[in-house]
Amino acid sequence: MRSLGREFVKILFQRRTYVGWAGLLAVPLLIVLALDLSSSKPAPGEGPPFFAAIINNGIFVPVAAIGALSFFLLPLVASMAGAFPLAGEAEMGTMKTWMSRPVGRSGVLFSKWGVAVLYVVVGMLLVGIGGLLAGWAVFGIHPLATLSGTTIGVDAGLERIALANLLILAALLCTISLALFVSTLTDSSLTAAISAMVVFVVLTILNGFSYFDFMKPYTFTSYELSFTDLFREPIYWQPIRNALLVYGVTVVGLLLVSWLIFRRKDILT
Amino acid sequence: MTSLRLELFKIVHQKRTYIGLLGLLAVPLIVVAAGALQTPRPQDPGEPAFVAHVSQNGLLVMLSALTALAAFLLPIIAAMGGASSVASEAETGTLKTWLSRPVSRTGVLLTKWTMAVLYALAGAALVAVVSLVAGVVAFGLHPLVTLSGTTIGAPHALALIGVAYLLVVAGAVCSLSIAFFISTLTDSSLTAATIAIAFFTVLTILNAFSVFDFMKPYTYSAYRLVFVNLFREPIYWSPIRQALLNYGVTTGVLLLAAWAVFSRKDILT
Repeated sequence: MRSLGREFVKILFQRRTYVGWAGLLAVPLLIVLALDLSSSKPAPGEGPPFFAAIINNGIFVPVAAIGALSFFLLPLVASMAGAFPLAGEAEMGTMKTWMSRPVGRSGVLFSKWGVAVLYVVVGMLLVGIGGLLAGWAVFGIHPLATLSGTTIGVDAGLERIALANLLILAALLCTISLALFVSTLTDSSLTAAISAMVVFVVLTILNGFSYFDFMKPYTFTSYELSFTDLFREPIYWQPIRNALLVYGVTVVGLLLVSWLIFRRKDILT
Repeated sequence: MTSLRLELFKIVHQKRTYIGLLGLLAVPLIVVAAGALQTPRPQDPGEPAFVAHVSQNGLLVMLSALTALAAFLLPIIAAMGGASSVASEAETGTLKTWLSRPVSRTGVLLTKWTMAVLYALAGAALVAVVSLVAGVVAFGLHPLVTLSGTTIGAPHALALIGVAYLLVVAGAVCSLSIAFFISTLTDSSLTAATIAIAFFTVLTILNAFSVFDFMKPYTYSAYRLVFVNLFREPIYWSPIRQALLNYGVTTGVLLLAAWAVFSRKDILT
C-alpha cells in the first residue's frame, strides 16, 4: 500500500494527469451543454446508447457519457496510464536507482498497475459525478425507464449506473494491462501506449466485420456494449458473465506475462 | 538534407516505427479477407457507399481501407510521429548535445516536422500499395462506378484514389502538428501524443452534435470524409478547397507556435 501511495503522488506531479482528467470531464459537460442548447432534440434511439433519453432525465448523462467514452477516449487514457508508470521510470533513468534498493520486483510491477487503475478510476468518477451533477442541474433526476419498459427508482437506477461503470472499468483493465505488458518490453512509454492503442483499434476494426465473428467471444473489445444489458428488467446476466470471464482471462494472462518478463529483465537505465 | 538523413536513420532504428506500420498494414488485409469471405451485407447508414461493395472491385479495397484509417489509426500514428520527434530527444537526453553543435533551431524543428510527415506519408503509401495489390488479386481491377452513377476507367480512378490518400494524409498532418507543437512545450513524448489524440477525439465528438455545427468549418476533424467528393462526376471541388484551406491554416499556425516556443526554449536535457 505504501508504494501505491507513493506512485499516486508521482502521477499527481505530472501535467499529463490533469490533461487526461480534464478531457474526460469535458465530455459529459459538453453533452449536457449540446443537448440543452440544441433546438432539435434527438429522436429516441438516435446517437450513442441512452443518449436520446437524457432530455427527459438527467440521470442518463453519466451512462451516455461513459458509454460514448468507452469507444475511444477511455481506452486512450487507459493505455497512457498503463504505459507510463513503468516505461516512464526507464525513460527518466530512475528505474535503476529504485531497483538497487531492497524492493521486490513483483511489488513494483503490481503497484505500477495499481496506480494506473487508480488513475482511470478517478477519471471515471469525474465523468460520473460531473455528468450526474450537470444532468441534475439541467434536466432533473427522475426514476428511470429501463430498456424493457419498466420503471425503477432513482436509488436502484444509481446502483445500476455504478454497476455499468464497474463493468466498463473491467474492460479498461484489459487495455491497462496490455499497455503495462508492452511497457515491460520497451524503454519508451510512447511505444507502449501506441502499441496498446493500435492493438485496440485493429481489434475493433476486426469486430466490425461479420466474417470475424468467430473471434468475437475471445476479444475484449467486442463486449463494449454489454453494460446496456444492466438496464433491462430483469438484468441479462449471461452476456455480462461472458464479458467478465474474457476480461478476467485477458487481464490475468497479460499480467502474468508482464511479471514473467519484468522479474528477470535487465534494467539498463 | 544531411539532417533529414540523420532523422531518417533515427526513425528506422526505433521499434515503434514498425509497430505503427504493422498496425496500418493490418487494415487493408482485414478488409480484403472480410470482403472475400463474408456474404455481402446491407450498407450501414453514414458509411460511404463503397464499403459495402468492396468485393466487387479491388479499387474499393483502397477506399474502404482509407475510410477506416481516416477515423482513428492514421491520426494516432501521425500524432505519435509528431510527438516523438522533439520530445523524445529531450527524454533520451540528446537534445542538449545536439543543440550545442552549430545547427540552427529552426532547421532542427523543420527537419523533425518533415520527417514526421514523411512517416505518415510512408504509412499511407504502404496501405495504398498493399490494399491495391491484395484487392486486385482478390477481386480484380474494374472500372469504378462513381457516386454520381457514371463509370470511370481504372487508371483515372487510381489517380483519384491517390489524391484521396493525399487528402487524408493532409488531415492527419494537422494531428501531427498539434502533437509537434505540444512536444516543444513538454519533455515527455507520451504527453504530447496523448494530448493530440485526445484533442482530435473531443473535436470529433463535438462535430457529431448539431449545436456545434457553427464550429465545423473551422475544425480540421470535420473534413475527415471530404475525399468522398472526389468520386462524384463532376468532382465537388468546393468542400475539398475548404478542407485544404483549413488544413493549411491549422498546420501553419501550429508550426509557427512551435517555432516561437522552440526558438527560445531552455534546453535542460
